[in-house]
Amino acid sequence: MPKVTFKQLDGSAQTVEVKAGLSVMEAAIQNNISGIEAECGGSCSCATCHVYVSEADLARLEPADDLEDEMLDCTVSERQPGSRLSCQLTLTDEVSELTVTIPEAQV
Amino acid sequence: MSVQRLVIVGGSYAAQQVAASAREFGFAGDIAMISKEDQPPYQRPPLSKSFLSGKLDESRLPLVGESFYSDNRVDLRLGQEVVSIDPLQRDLQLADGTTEPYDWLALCTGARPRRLPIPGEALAQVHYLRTLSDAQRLKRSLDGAAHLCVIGGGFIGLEVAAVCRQLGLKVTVLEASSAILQRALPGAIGQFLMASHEQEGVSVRLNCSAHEITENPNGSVSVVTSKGDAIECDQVVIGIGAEPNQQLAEEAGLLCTRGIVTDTLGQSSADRILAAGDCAAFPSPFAADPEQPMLLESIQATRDLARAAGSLVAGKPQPYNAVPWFWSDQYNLKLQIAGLYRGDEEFVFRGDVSAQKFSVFGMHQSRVVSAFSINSPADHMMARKLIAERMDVEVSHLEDAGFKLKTLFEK
Repeated sequence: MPKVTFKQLDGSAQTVEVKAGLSVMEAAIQNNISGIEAECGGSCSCATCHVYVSEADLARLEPADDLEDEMLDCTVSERQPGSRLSCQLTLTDEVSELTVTIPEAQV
Repeated sequence: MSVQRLVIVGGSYAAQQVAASAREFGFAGDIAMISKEDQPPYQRPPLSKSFLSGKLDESRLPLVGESFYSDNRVDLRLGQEVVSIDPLQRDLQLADGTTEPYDWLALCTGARPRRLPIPGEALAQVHYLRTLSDAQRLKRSLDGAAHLCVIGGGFIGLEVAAVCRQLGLKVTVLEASSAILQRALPGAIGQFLMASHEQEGVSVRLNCSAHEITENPNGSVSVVTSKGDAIECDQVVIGIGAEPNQQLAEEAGLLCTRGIVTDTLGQSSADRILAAGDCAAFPSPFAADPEQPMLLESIQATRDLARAAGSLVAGKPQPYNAVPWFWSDQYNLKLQIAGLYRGDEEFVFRGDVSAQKFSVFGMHQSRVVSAFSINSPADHMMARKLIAERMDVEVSHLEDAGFKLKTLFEK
């Protein structure tokens, strides 16, 4: 099963396993990871599941579409080159290991 | 001092959020969540969208991971019904005859679909959509169905219509008034959505209501309309709004209007009794009348009022002060609403209708009070900020799609 590691700003990290086909946001919600709000439940409507992805990982992921790109301009924590909405990052057998950092604030 | 006990009645977004927020704000007492439903709190918006279309299954609906309840010491009691509250004794009675004491009581009883009082409304081919079991039944019924009739051109009906068109069904929508989504949206957006549905092949009939639903010998049904004709179809979905579940509160003597009346902390008229979610009517700071309790019926309002209620229980009151927002997905269209549609605002247009990417901003005294965006999330997010900060803004800036609204906030 794909694995995601969530890094918090205090340096702590938690690795969880989820079924392929689920999003990074769903992995966080199912495992009660703090710092991912996901108010809209994953429909790219709220920008409260913002995460930072490393440059190397970024290259392995489908790029953000126009709607996500616009939403990323409006996140509460600063947009960085590795910013993504975790509801739009699907874990697959190809993208089976991912590390994301949770920003300071979502709302 | 004895251990404080918070009892939450209900098992959806508000219930889950009151529990989570009470703990986040430091409530250390006992929490019991008593829900009539058979499953832990789950997401409802997908029921008329990705769940119905088959994109998302049951396993992906729970609002939180299973361990949330044990991690946060929430005693989740499913399949149990509260039948009465005694605010003087501070206890409540369950259908099984037992009595539960509380120090804090949060009523998160939600709402139920408004029934359409016409003959045939209870036929097996007729559906309302509110709960997971409603959605499961509808989904099963759509299997093999060729023609769906939707009664009511509101959000749920239109979302179901969109999904069913994409599943290949013939879809007819009946709307009793002269426009779809008339109470929620300015005419320009309603007309755009109606045209989009028609382009996708949905037949939308305005000024047309249902008088009767009759069953045909072949198992199909006929919806007899106010125009005098009958629409033969396989299944019917009725989506004509919701009614707050406030009977428990009314019988306990709590002040109710359409909804249980609360303040911006979710505090009802009775000491130590709170309400949040679709059953609660509360004053919204961004409404035309900021004193008037109102039902907002949205995930945002539910979560934010429940958060305030949780903070009150924990002794660290943080009143509700959020800009209302809402979304709906239909076909490839993402509709996002910020603020509240008032009816007295002037509208400013931004974007490109033919590209299906535009927003309508509602202005009142040179401030943005509402915004209705199609596939324009940046407009939506910036509108939320403009409304929150009650900022004066130039119409020319709003109208110019090339002008980045974000720069208005840069010092």
